Amino acid sequence: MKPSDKIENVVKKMSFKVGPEMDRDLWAETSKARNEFHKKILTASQHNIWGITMRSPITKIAVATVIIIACITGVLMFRETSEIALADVLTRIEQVSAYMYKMHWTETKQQTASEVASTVLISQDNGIKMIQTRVDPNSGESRDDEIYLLPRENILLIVLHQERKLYRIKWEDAEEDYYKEKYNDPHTVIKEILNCSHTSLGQSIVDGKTVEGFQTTDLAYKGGFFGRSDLMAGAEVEKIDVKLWVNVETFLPIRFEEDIITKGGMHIHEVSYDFHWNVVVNDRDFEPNITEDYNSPNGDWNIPAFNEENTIKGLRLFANYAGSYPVNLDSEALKKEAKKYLESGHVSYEELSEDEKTKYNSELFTMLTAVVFYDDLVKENKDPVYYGQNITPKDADKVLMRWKVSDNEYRVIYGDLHVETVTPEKLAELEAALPK
Amino acid sequence: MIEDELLKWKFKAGDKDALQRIYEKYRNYLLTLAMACVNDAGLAEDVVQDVFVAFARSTGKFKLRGSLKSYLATCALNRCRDRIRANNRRLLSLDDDTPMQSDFCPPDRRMISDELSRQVADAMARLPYEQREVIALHLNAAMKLKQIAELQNVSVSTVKGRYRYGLQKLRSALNGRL
Repeated sequence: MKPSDKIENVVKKMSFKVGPEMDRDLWAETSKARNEFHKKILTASQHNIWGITMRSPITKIAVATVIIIACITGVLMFRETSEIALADVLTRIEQVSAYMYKMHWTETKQQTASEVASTVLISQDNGIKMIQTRVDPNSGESRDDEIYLLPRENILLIVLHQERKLYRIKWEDAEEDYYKEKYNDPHTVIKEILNCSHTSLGQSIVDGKTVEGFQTTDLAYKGGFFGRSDLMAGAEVEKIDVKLWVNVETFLPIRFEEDIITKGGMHIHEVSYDFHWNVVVNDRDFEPNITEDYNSPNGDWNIPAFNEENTIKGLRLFANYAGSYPVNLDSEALKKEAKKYLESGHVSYEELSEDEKTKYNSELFTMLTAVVFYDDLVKENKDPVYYGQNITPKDADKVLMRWKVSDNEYRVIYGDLHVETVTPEKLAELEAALPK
Repeated sequence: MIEDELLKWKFKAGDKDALQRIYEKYRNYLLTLAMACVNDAGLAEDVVQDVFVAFARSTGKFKLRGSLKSYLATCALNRCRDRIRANNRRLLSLDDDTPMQSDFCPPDRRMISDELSRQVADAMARLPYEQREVIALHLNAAMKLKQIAELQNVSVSTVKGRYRYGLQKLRSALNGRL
C-alpha cells in the first residue's frame, strides 16, 4: 500500500456520529421547521395543483412507477431544478470576480424599431462598464456611448462621444443597487425571477452546451434590461416573457431573453449572450475614454440620500425661497415650483456655468428629497402624514410631517423644522391642535 | 440511488417519514463532513442543524435533479464557509480582554467519535481551508475532483494540487500516529 493510500484510508474512516442528546435536538429543530413550513404552505395555497393531483391514488402510483423506472434505466425524467438551481446560480455569480457579455435590445412601436447593441463588463471591485451602439430608426445612423457605474466613487458616468459630452451623477448612498438594476446586473435579474412565479423549461442545448431553462411570465417581474419601469414610462404591461438558460455544468447563465409588450403597442425584445466568466480586469478598464474637450453641459447631479436629515434640508431650502413649505409632496408640482424659485432672477438654465448648474441641480434634488422620503415611508407602511398646506415656518410647535417609527413612537418634524420622537398619545394632542 | 429518488419524491410530496429517513440516513455523514471542515463541535452541529432546517423548509417546493447526497454535502459546505467567515469576523471584533464564551457541551457529550478521528480532524484543521475542503469533499463526501473544481470555481488542476499538498501535510502532521 502506498503511503498516500494509507493516509487517504485514514481520512475516509474518520467518523463523527450524532450523540443521543444532539440527535434529539437536531431532529426536534428539523421536525419543527418542517411542520411550521408545511402549515404555512397549506394555508397559503389551498388550491395547490400538485396537492389536488396527488390526491388521486392512481396518479400517485403512476408517478411512483415513472420514478422507479427512471432510476432503474438511469434516465432521469424530472424536468426540474427551479428555485434551488436559481439560488445556486446567484451564489455562483457572487463568486465570479468579473464577467462580460453582449446585449442586444430592440424597441418596436408603430412599425418603427430602434436598436441598441451593448458590451457589458461587470466587476465586483470596479463596477459596471457598458459600451453601447445605438441605431437611429429614422436615419439608420449609429452612435457609440459609454456608461460607467463606479461604486467606489458613487458615480454614474454617461459619455456621449458624438457630442463629446459627459454626464456625472453622484449619489450619497444606497443608490448603487438602483443603478445596478437599471443597468441590468444579471444578479439582480435572477433575484427578480426568483421573486416571481417561474417554471422550468427543462434541458436543451444552447451554443453547444447543455442548459437548464427557466421562464417567468409574471407581470410582477420588474427586473431586466435598463429597468422595466424606466422603459415603460408608466405604460401598462400586457405581456412579459422572460427566459434564462443556465449551463448545467457551471451553473452560470448562458443566455437571457426578455420580451415585454405594453398595452400601447410597444414591444421590447432583449437578448444577453456570449457570457465570459472570470475575465481579468484592471482599474484602467473602468477609466472613461475621453479627452479634455469633453464637457459636462449640465454640471454634476448630486443625488442626496433620501433620509430625514436631507428632507429637513430640502424643506428649509424651499421655505427660504418661498417663505412657506410645499403645499403637498407631489413630485411634479414640487419640481415645477422649485424650478420657478431657482430660476427667478437668473438668466436661463442653459446660460448658467457648469458650477452654477451643479449648484442648481443639487438644490433641486435636495428640495425633492422630501417627496422620495415620503413615498418610501408610504411604501414601508409607516403611516406618514404631511401638513404643508396649513403649517408655515412660524408654526414652531405644530406638526409639519410625522411618521411611525415603532408601535409606540412617532417621529415628528415641526413647523420650525426641529424633530422629536413622541408617543401616539402626544401625537394625537399635537394633531388635535392643528389648524382646521 | 433508487431509495434516494423515492425519498426525494416523497419528501417533495410532503411526507414527513421521508424527511425523517433522510435525516437518519445523512446526519452522521454531514456531521463528519462538517467536522472535517470546521473541526469545532459546536460549529459542526450548527451546520448540520442549518442544513436540515433549511431542507425541511423546502418541503413541497423541493426539486432536485442530481444526487441527494451531493446536494446535502454542498449545502453543508456552503454553511461551513458561512460559519467560518462569521466566526472569523466575531473573533476579529472581540477585544483581547473579552473572555471567550464556552457555551457548548464538550464534544464527547454531544457526538461520538474515536481518538483517531479526532486526531485526523485536528490535523486537517491545520491545513489551509481550500485544501481541507478538497480532502473532505473527495474522501468524506466521495465527490469527484471535477465536481469540487466547479464548487470552488477553480480548475481541476488547482484542485488536484490542493489535494496533493493537503495530503502531504496531513501525512507529516499525523506521522507516527498512523
